[in-house]
Amino acid sequence: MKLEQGVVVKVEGGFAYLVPSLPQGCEHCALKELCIGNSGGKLKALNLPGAREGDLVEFQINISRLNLNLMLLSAAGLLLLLAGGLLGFYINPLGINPSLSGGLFAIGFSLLVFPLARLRRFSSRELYPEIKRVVRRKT
Amino acid sequence: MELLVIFISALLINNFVLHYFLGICPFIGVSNRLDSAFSMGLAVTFVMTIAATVSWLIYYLLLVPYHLEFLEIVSFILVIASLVQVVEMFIKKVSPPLYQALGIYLPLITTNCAILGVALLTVLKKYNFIETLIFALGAGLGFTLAIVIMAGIREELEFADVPETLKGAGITLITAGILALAFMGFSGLV
Repeated sequence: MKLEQGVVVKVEGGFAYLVPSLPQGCEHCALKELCIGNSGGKLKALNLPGAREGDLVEFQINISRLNLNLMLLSAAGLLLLLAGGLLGFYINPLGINPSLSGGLFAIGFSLLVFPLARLRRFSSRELYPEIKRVVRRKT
Repeated sequence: MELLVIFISALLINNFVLHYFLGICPFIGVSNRLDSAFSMGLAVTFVMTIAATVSWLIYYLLLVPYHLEFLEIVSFILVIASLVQVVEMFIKKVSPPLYQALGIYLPLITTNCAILGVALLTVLKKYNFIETLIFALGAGLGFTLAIVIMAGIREELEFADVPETLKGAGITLITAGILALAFMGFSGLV
């Protein structure tokens, strides 16, 4: 997986906040203003090598794990929405307008994704970017 | 059968990106890496389906009974913007790492005209609630399919000898055009 560089601006507990350096390829990107590094935003990363403020570090984002979690969450939300809609429309337990019933059940069911997302796997420390090494200490 | 036709039509034949040319901004902007494209596609599918559902309910249960149909665009835009905000707040609260990873995609979803397009088309086509749900799901998955195929091609293009003047947006748009031509092959499917 690709390593990226950034400068640590704050250290807090086992985490470090860093400003990523933009790769050369980003120079012509139309969306660069939205990017974290370009908007002055900070990235929270696991600080395993003990980087200090001002250090230039190399970090890695575990995209595949993030994608898997995002896929699980989106798929669960969609399935719940679909299940609620079909149940409300065809079975219509409330005995009201089928479309209204479908809508209410679809939205109600999709809200179930909230408790689901509270599962530990979606907020695990392992999902954060990880600082791999300190490239240059602040002098 | 009717629902299957609507789904296949939204997914392949009337693909929102390659047939209607809606949602081109995120299609071009986030299709340079396969994993980012996949995340974006899923996030769009989720928001698109919920937005179409809520918009349909607002239109038929609020705007039509009070003869306020002329407010459909304004209300649909509000619904989409609010939904994205809610999704953003929700992800920020329950999963900060996912929020951090999705940071760039969420503002792009708000401004994705394919989402507004789905909401408006369901009204135009006079779909009922379930048809709307299936149509939005098909459209979202169609968007994901298109952006993932495009990202795959663009990753391969990194190693191709593209003329200097065509690098970047030029070759991407040419590729999108060829991809759209390929998708025209699905026209006779249903």
